[in-house]
Amino acid sequence: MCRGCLNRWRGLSLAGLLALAPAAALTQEGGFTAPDQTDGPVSISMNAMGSLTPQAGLRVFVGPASECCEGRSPVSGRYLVVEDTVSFVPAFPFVQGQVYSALIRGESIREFVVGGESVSAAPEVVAVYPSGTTIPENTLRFYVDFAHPMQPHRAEEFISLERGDGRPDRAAFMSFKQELWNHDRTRLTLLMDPGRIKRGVATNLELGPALESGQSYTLVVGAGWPSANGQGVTSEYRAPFDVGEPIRSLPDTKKWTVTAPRMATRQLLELRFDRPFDQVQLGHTIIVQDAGGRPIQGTINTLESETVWRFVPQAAWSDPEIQVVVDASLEDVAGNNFREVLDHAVGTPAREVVSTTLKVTLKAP
Amino acid sequence: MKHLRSTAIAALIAALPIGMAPVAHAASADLKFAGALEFADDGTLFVGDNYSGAIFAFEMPSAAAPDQVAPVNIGDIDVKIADVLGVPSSALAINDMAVHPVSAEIYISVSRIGNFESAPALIQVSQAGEISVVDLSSLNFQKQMLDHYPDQETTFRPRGLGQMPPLVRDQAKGEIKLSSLAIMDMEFHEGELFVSGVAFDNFLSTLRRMPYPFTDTQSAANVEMYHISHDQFETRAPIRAMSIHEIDGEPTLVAAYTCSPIVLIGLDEIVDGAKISARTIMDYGNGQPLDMLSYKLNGEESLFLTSNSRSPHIIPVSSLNDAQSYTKGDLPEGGKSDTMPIMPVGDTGKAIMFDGMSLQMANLGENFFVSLTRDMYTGSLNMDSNFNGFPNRLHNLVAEFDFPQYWEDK
Repeated sequence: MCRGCLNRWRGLSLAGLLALAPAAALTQEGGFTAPDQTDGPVSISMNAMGSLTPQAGLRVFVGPASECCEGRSPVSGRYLVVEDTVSFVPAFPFVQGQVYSALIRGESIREFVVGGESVSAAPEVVAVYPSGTTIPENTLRFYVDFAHPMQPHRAEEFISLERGDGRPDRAAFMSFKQELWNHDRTRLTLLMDPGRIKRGVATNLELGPALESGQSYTLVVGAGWPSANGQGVTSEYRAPFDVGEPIRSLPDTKKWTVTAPRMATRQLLELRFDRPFDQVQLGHTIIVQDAGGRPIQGTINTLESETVWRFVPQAAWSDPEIQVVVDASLEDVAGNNFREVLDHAVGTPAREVVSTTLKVTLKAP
Repeated sequence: MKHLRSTAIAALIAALPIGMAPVAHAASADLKFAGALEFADDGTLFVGDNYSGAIFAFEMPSAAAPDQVAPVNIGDIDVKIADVLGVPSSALAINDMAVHPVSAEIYISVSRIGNFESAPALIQVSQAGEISVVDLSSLNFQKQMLDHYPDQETTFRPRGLGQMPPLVRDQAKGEIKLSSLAIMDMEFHEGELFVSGVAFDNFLSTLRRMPYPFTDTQSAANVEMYHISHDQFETRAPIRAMSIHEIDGEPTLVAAYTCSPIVLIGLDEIVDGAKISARTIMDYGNGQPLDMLSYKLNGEESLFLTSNSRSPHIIPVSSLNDAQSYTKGDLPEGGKSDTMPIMPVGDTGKAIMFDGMSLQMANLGENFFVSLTRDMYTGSLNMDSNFNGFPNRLHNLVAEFDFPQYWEDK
């Protein structure tokens, strides 16, 4: 299928194709219109179909023209004919930043990309947590947030921990065979090898702790990691940090500072913690309730290296007294929760606690 | 489970009456995850939605039965499914596969990642090998919410091998939700859907049964079994794969667990609120079962069990009659691994050759297995259909027969 056009287009860059497209091809290909939004449509004049049906005359494939279309299946979708225009609407929305190829009459190919922003936006790292410039020696997890869904099973290749002298520590995160992604593959969870954190176990004795108090390190996400749609790659991202003393105690809400908002306003409620907590867990383990225990809806933000938690209610505060319920499973950056420290001695009983409730009296209006 | 009932193929094409059950819907299905699949004999497709805690029953269009069921072979099936979904294969996850009992069309449940969303999709592969997306919005369906659905927060507790501390790859389990085990396998039997998984606040191994068409009534029973190789009673780890057969004259559920006991449960034991003590009759070796197919091998009703860590295992159903039961104290104390002389225990089956590793497998007509097979050498994922008496391909094997001289001498 379309041997000639494969040769014709092969080797041309996407930019080249887009530049070529409007002038010459539009008339030749009967008013081809690429979609300007993810739900389509791809349109072309009925005349351009010749004697072919819409299904045979206009087919859309994943990937650039250079990979189109032998042995590939067209994208599934519906065809609409309105007056003299054929439109193709994909069954699932086109993916932003993905290159697609429209094969017209089985002989000419038009590449297109949907979504203005993401065409230029590379799949960069947008944040790394913990975000502190100094983190404890026994930090358990890192989160790497990407601007785009990413290709899985590449972390081992692209992520490393560099020591102060620039030497990479390949054993810090050990194996990534079971990568931990969120649903849309924009957040990767990295776990430090617990053998390198826990005292006295084999890897800790042989290799020493991966992170040592007083030393500096850089978490490096290398250049070239492709996004899930394969249409962009990361440039190098470096998150430098210093390592401080380990945290090997239970968190304590009595050491927190609560700043109460004012009644009848949407002022923020602020908690200042005794230590940095896990950024992801902070999003769902602290719940604000009215005096009757009904949850209050609002927006959560974490800042100052995850030592400060802020809550802005959707509606103005209406109860003079509210309660903040902290789930005992909330972990600090070292994996210690309100029941037990991660690195506890065998046989140490865990505290029987489900949650801690902080009562907060609002300021008078 | 993938279950072939040849009797159903000619009959029962007429749809079950709709609108009878209180849960019947006219609106479009709000499916959030397409997981476990199971067909009723008439072609109704059950889809387990682990995210919503519900089973959807879609009335699939009643396609005609083919004159003869054809084997379907498609290389790089993951790439081709991703093609029709408009994404690269790295944005696809395959969850389950089932075959329409009448039309022999193959259905695959997947998750498609794009534009910062994980969306469920159901893929149809026709007898001619054409791949298409099922338009769920055009289908009549019923939805049954599951009682005692477990919370979607609690995660696994990581462990290392033996006395070893957990490695990072073990620690990773600590980030995976237990509710991913809430709908493991489904089996349709005489007007009822049986569902295995974990349920209740404390994540107990649970068998559910519910009539179809759904009436909003359902039963949930907890299952305890003696695990031979772990030498303990277990109440949490769920049934991975199951099938229903008449054993010792009674309709019985045959269930496979990880590492790898086979247990029997009489259907009459599955009543709401029951604490079932399953009868453990076999442990065929360590590993994790994936699919249990029921089929006829040389005229004999048999089970074909796939695993993520063993060769497939074939067990004649008749060999489960009068089987000896095992419980704590019947065998030497302690855990049992494959290399111990006592293992396997009570195994009436046989491990067989299988080229590559099957991710998903189902009956395709009476004579074929269709498998999504990971090729050992290329790593590609291929849809392969093979004769179920010897479900193998030859292209990765080199033997005496491949020498031209061998044939010259004949």
